[in-house]
Amino acid sequence: MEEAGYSVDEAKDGMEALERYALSRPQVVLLDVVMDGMTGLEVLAKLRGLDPKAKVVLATADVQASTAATAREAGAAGIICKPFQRQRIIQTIAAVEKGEPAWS
Amino acid sequence: MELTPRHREALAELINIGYARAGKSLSELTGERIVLNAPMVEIHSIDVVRVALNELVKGEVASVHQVFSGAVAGHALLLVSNEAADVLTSPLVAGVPSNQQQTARREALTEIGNILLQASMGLCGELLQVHVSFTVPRLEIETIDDMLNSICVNNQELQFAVLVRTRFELQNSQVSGYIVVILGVTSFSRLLDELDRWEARQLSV
Repeated sequence: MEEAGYSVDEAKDGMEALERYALSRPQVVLLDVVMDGMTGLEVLAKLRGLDPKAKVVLATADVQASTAATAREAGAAGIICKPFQRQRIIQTIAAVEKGEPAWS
Repeated sequence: MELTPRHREALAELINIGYARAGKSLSELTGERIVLNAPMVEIHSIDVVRVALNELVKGEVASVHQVFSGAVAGHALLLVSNEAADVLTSPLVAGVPSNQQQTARREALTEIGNILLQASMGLCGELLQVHVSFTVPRLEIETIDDMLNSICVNNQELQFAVLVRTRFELQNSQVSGYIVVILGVTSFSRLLDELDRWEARQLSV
């Protein structure tokens, strides 16, 4: 992402992600669905509560349509299914940053 | 508790579809053609599962363990030998400094397990119309006995288990591994109900 010109801030879990979001308000958030502590979907809900305009992309190896539907209902801007190539992440982030949905 | 031939056939077909997806994911990750053998579906006491797995994999194994929950809940495991783990992770850690190789290999193998297990179990859930959620995958290097002890401790329900085993082979590497799913009695019973519904849906189309 940094090679593509983005500034990247990392968080080790959902709680830290919420703290960092509140401090720096990044343009796009990329969240793994499966994480220690809060799940990505739980963090998504809290982020959207904090900022209803937050642009959040979920990354997951879960192929169930119900997971994508839940993410969409919870306000995610897109989803990236694993395994993915670096270019796929960059394209998805770029699309979401422009306000376009990105559901692979 | 027994699997009827009809249930066994339906479950094998379902898992075949799920594992085909898993094989595709593994192939994309490693850049190698993956051959997945037809899954064998059996129900055993946990002690027989222990003997069966010890016959399949000798000594310490790398296991990626993911708990799944939902109407059908259980444990999904990717089991590979240390040698197979090295082969699987090598393409993903190329270029990583040598002092960071061990950590990078552990992370890569954990992610491979995560993708394989969620692809296979998730697609089975999708076909059965049963949503399953997954915990964070855990990587352990241990014997089969230690692995099963850690899963079954304080869980009387897991005295019986469905063992679904599939051998996969990387065509250019001569290494293989196993995907194992362990279900408790309650989940097994629910699984049979869901298989009946799935079959009924198939017949009504």
